[in-house]
Amino acid sequence: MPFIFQNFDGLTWALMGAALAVGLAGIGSAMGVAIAGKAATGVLSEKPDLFGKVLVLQALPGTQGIYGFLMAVLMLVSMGWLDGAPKALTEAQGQMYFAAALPIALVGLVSGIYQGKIAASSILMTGKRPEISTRGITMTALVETYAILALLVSILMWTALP
Amino acid sequence: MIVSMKKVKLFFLENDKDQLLNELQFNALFMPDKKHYQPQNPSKSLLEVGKAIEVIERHLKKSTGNHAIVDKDTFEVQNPKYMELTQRILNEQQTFYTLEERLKSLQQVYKDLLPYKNLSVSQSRLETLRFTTVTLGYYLKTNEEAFVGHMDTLGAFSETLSSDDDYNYVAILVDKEQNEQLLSILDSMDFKFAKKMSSEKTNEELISEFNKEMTELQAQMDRITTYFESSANELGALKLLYDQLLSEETRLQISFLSTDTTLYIEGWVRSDQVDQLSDVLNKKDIAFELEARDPLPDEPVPTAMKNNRFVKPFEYITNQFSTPSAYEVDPNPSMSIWYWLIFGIMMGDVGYGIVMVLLFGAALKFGKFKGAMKDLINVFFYTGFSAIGAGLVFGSMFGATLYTPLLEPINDPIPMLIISLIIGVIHVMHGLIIKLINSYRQKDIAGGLNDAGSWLFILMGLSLLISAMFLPMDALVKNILMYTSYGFMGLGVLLIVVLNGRDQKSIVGKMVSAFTGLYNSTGYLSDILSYSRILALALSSAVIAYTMNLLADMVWHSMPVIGILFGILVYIVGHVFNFIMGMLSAYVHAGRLQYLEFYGKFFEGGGYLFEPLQLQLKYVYQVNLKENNNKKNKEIL
Repeated sequence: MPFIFQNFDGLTWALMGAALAVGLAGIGSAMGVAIAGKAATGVLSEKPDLFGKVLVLQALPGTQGIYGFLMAVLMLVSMGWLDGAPKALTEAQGQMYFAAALPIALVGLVSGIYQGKIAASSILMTGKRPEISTRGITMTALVETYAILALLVSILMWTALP
Repeated sequence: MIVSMKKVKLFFLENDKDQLLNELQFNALFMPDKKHYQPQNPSKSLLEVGKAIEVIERHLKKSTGNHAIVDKDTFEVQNPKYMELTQRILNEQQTFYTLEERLKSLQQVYKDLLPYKNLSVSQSRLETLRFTTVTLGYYLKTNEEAFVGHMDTLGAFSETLSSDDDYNYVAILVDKEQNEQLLSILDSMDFKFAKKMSSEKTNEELISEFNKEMTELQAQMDRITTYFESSANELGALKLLYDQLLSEETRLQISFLSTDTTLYIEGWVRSDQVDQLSDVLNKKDIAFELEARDPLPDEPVPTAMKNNRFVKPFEYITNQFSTPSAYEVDPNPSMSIWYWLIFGIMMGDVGYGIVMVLLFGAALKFGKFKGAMKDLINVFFYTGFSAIGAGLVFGSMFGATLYTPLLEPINDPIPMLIISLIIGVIHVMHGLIIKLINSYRQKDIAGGLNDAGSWLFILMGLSLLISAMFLPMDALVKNILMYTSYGFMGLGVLLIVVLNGRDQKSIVGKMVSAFTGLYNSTGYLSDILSYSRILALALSSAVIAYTMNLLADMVWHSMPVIGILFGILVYIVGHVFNFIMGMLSAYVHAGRLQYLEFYGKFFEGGGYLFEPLQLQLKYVYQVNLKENNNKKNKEIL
C-alpha cells in the first residue's frame, strides 16, 4: 500500500470508492456523450429531421454514468451515510467497499469513451442511411455489455459488504 | 407467419389501363416487378399544392386537416376547384411578398425623413436657392456646444428641427462661398448628412403621404393574412388533393410491357389474395387474363408476413434488423413474446408500467400515428403490461416497495441473476429449435443436427446437471437426473464430433473441424451470460427510482412549504428522467438480446418486404374501400 493511503480510516476508503464509481464512470459518459454529440450536431445541420434517431444514439454512452451513480448510491446506503449514522468501518472493511467500486469505475470510464466513438460513427451512418439506424444502435450497445458486466460484478461484490 | 407468394402476369387491353392501375393501387394487392417502375420527377402541380399547404400552415397556430378518413369515391375524384385555390394562394403569397418589400423600403425612407418633419419648405425648393445652401443632418448631442460655437463663428444659421436621445437633427443655412468651410467643419465633427429627397412637397406632406401608403399596404397585407387564415377550412381539401396527386405520381411511374394486342404487367401477389385480386377486377368489368405460378427455386421472393394483432407491431423490430427471407420460419411470433417479457422485466415497476399503458394507450387512441411510429407505440403499450407484471413480482411502485415481494433484486440479487440466466438458456434453446425447423424445411437435416441439435442436447444436459446438483431432491432421482444429463451432453458432443467435419475429406480435417465445433461452447457461454443484463437493467431502474424517492424525501423534510414543493419537483423530474432512460435502455438491450443471442442462432434475413402498389398517404389517414369492411382496410394500410 503506498504510504499516503496508510492513515485512511474505513469510512474514507468507502467514500473514496463511491466517489470513484460515480466520478470515473461519469467522466467516461460525459466524454462519450460529447464525442457522439459532435457527430450529431454535424448531421443535424444537414438533416434536422433526424433529431429523434440521432438523440437516441447520442444518449447511449450516457448509461455508464448512471451505473456509476447507482453503485455510489448503493454504497452510500449500505454504509449508512444517508441515514446520518455512518457505520464505523475498519480499514479492511473500507477497502472492501473501495474494491467493490472499482469494476464499474474503471470499465465505466473506458467503455464510455469508446462507446461514444462508435456512437459517433453510427450517427454519421444514420445521417447517410436513416433507415438502418437501429443497426447502429445495436452495434453501439455491444460496447456497453462490458459496462453492464462490470456493474453486475460490482453489485455482486456489494451484496456481501459488511 | 410468412405467407407464400405467387408470381402473377396480368394481361389486359390498353383501354382499361387507367382503371386497372387505379384498382390495383386502391386494393394494394399487387407488387409490380422493379422493371415496371420508371422514376419520374415530381409534377409541378404536386409541388405547388405542397407549397400552398406550407403557406397556409405558416399562418396557423395548430395544423388542421390531417388524418382524414375518406371514401374511395372521394379519393378517386380530384376537384379542380382546389387546384385553382392553390393558384390563388400562391398568387396571394407572391403579392404578399411584393407588398412586404415595398413596405420595408417605405419604412426605411419614412424613418430617415421623420426627424426633419418640421422643415417648412420642400427639399427640392432648397436646391434652387441662389445665394445660400441649406444642409440637413444630425450630430451627437454631446457635441452641441461645440457645434453652436462653430456655427456662430462661421455666421451660419442653424435650426434644430428635432432631437432624440442621442442626436440633434438640424438644418444649416450658409452663404454659398462659405459652404466649403462648413463642410470641413462638419466633417471634423462627425456630422451625418440626411438622405436627399427631391420632392416638390414639404416633408410634412410627404410624411403624411407615406403614412397613408403604409397603412394601405398594411391593410392589404392584413387582408391577405386573413385570407390565409380563413383558408384553414380548405386545408383538409388541399391535403387530400396533395395525397391524390402523390398517389397519381406513383401510378405514373408504372410502365407496362406489351404484346401485339394487349398490355401486361408482372409482379407478386400473396397466394391467399390471388382470388381477391381477380374478384376486384371482375367487379369493375375489366377484361383481363391472370396467370399465376409458384416462384422458381432461386427467385428472390418478397416477404409478406401475416400475424395477429399482438405480433404485428413487433415485425418492425425484426425489419429494423433485417427483413426475414421468404424461405424461413417467421421469427416474429417467437421474438415478440421474448421481447415483451424481457422489456417488461427490465422496466420492472408497476408505476412505470401503468404510465406506459396509459401514455401509449392514449397515443394509440387519440393520436393517429402511421407506420413505424404506430408499431413502436403499440410495442410500448403491450410491454407496459409485462412491466406491471414484473413490477408486481418485485413489489415495486415508482421505486417504493409495496409489500414483501417474491424477488428482491436490490437486497438479494442472486435469485434474480439465476432467473435471468434461465431465461437466457430457454431463449437460446428456442432459437436452436427454430434453426432445426429451418434446416428441416431446407432439407439440410445433418446441418441442423450439427448446428442446433447438438447444442440443444448439451444445453438440456447442462440444465439437468445443474438442477440435479443444486435442487434438493431424493438421492435416487438425483442420480437418474445426473446420468441422463451426462447422456444428453455426450450425445450432443458426439453429434458435433461426427457431423461438424462431414464436408472434410481427410481424417485430420475432420478432427480439426470437430475441435472447432466444440470450441463454439465459449460462444454459448458468453451468450447466456449476456442475459445477466436483464438483472443489471432491472436493478438499475429500480435503484435509481429508489434514489429519487430518497432525494425527494430528504428535500421534503428540509424546509417547511418550499421543501415540500421542491420535494415534489425532485420526485417528478427524477422519475420522468428514470422512466425515459429506463425505456431507452430496455429498448436497446431487449432488442440486442433478440438480434444477437436469439437471431444469431437461426435467422437468415436478407429478404425484401412485400410492398404492393398502394396509395401514398402523407396527410390522409385512411381511405375506405366501399366493397370491403373497415377492418380489412386497416390491415391493408
